[in-house]
Amino acid sequence: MSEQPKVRPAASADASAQAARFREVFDRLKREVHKVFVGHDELVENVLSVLLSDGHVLLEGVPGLGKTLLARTLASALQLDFSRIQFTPDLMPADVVGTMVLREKEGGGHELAFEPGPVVANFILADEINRATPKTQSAMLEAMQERQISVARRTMPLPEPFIVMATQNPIEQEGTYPLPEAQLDRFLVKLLVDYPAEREYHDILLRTTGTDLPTVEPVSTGDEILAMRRIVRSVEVTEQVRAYAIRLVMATQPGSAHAPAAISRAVALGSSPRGAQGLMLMGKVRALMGGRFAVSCEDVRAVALPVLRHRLLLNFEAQADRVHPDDLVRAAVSSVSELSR
Amino acid sequence: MNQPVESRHLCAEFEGLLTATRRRVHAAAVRRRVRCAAERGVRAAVWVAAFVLVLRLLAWLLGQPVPLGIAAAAVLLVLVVLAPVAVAWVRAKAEEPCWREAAERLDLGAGEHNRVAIGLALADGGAATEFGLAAIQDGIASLKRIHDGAPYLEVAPTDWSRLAGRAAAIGLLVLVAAWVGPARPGQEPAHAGGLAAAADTPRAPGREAGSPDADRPEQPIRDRVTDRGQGERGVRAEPMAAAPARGSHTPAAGRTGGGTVAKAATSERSAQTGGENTQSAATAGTQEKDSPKSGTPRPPKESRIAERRSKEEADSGAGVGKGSSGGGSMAAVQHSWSQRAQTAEGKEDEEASDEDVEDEAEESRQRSGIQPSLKDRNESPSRDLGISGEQGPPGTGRGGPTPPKKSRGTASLVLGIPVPDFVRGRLGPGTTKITHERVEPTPMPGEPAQAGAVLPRVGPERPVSPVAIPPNLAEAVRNYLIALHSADAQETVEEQPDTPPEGGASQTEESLNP
Repeated sequence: MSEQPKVRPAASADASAQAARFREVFDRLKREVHKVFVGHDELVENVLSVLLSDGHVLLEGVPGLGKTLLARTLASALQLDFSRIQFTPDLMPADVVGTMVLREKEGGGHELAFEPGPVVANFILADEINRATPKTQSAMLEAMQERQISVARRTMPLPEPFIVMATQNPIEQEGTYPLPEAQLDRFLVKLLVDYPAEREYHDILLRTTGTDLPTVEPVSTGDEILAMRRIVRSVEVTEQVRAYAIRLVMATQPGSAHAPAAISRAVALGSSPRGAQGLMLMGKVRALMGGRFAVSCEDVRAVALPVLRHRLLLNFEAQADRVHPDDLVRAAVSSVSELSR
Repeated sequence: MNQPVESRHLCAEFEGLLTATRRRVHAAAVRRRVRCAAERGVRAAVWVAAFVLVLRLLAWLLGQPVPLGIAAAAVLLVLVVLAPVAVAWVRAKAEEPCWREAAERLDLGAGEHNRVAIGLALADGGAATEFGLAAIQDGIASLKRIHDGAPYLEVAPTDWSRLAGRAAAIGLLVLVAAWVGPARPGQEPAHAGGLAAAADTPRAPGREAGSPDADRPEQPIRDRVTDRGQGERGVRAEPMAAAPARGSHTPAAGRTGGGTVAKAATSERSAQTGGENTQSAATAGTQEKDSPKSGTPRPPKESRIAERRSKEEADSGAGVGKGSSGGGSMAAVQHSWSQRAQTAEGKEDEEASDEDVEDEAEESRQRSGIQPSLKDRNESPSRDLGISGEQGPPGTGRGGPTPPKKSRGTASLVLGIPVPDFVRGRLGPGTTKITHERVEPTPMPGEPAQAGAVLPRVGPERPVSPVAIPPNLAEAVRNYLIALHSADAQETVEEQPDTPPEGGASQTEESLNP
């Protein structure tokens, strides 16, 4: 009983140093973003968590709330190849991934050459992604999941790190197309951008209507982002927490043994295993930010809403009753116990 | 080789710090299981008590000795409650919670982000990664900090009301079972007479043997119907019969009775009035129904008129002193002038209408055929120029509801008058005819205009002053244009009076732009 724990101090110190470095990079990026983007601390933290979790983020909100500004600011804070695609109803898949063009050879004659589209970049801002037709939206599927594009029997890997940051207006607005479920599932999180608070309005007006406009400096690089991603994946997950995340994902699937009555009544399609992966990765970032070396059930609960809300496909009755997916995710969270037995 | 030793030492440290927590979790689990077993036992005891009651009741009904006494039943009930409790206690004592459960419950109780459970799990699994070792160290530090904390224990509240209800049910069932005593041998069950009585054919209360109704022979249906009708009429005639006794006979009551008679005997015009007996009226009605079939010849018109006049004289009180049957039923009281006038007016109307019908029928016969009567003609549909736009009154048999009429002429040109328009946004569209004519262009004589240089402006440039318009006129024109170009122009104009109220313009704007 009186024996001291036989944990190697060096190993523990290494882990602590990596976690501290991670938090330092995270805070640095956050500060830089907040130079321009006022308020919404949780939103910015979630976006950075997605960036460091090797995922993609979907921002939803009415026009004018700074969704594009946030993406642009983050891209400016990273020394990454930035590309912006403004999705419009007449945008075609070839406009996104690229196409084969006929070029003149230097020595005469012509040849077909691949002209890469704007998706071939590190940081993609897909602005108003739901204004494009589902056909064009689907052009992003392969790029987002496999990190590659295929054009004319030719497959080309995309550069790393690769992150897609898409913005969309609420689907009730005119001239928008709902995103296909397959593409929605490829986004690690869906974040809702709300109106700023009254105090934040003051800061917005002071920063944007004066003579000294803030500038964003690049504070991180692609290599550093990749290193941070490796640290995230080093965080431990015990069987208890893993089982809790699995039960939570299964609780969103109607007909499952863990699904509460509200889910079985309102959900047509629950979360896929990608949801569990998202819970783990986002939970790891949150554990590191909390100074811990393993994911806890509390971390999983905290990220359940942004990770799972866009993975629930509501049935007709729930849509008619205007049931919100957030309420269903909360019902699932409250129905799952974190005790192992 | 070093790793398993480390893991064992770490696990031992975790277990040493978790011993107290595990003991508390174990005690709580024992309590929880004993309580659940007790609730199940009480629930089973209710069924056992009910079973005992049924058993004793059956034995009592069959006259057999009861196999289970009350004392034995009470012992059985106690056993039913206590046996599962004892079993649950023994089993719960034997099953101690594992260290992992104790750690998880301690984390939950302390809100420690599963640090203890994570550390224990990683130590138990022999974590070799840097982050794993750091998590173990973190878990041990957390456990040392909170090892005396209270673990999370599921405390399900006991439903005392349900428990008390079940206990009361058991007591009630036992009491009833004790009251239902065993039958003595040779004694006829007390219910035998009751069952025999129940086996008798049930009878209606009014048809009991010995009752006057039972002795009465079966009555034909027709007679029963007549009796019932008489009874009802007797009930209805009771106020009229009692009226003279109270000295409050009124002409209104007499009119009611007379009206009934008149309805029953319209063709015979032998309406009985005043205080005639209703039963006689009904009899008269029956006779009148039979009269057309009997083929009784109708008396001549002069005799019918004379008879009717004589009866009216009797009704009007002139025959009070004559001792006639019609006047005898009238009370010898003074009628007020208003009542008399009402009575006289009604009579005159009836007489006039009857005479008119007879006169017209006589004229028709003289013209050798039925002629259309002017009174049968319906009102012609309205041809008025309606500009309200609403659905007109229902038609009078010629073409259905009257459609709204269009306004024509100068009325549609006057400002402020609502103009119904079937095509929104166009005033009085009318019919449009497009004619294409193939016409060859012909040169027109004239002199071509001479091109010249643009000349500078002559005179000073001054701001153009607006035309002076009275404010009320400008407001009126503005209101009119807003109403004209709005989607609900017609409704808006109808809701507002001709002279707009104060602030009318702003109200219109608000209604148009919510």
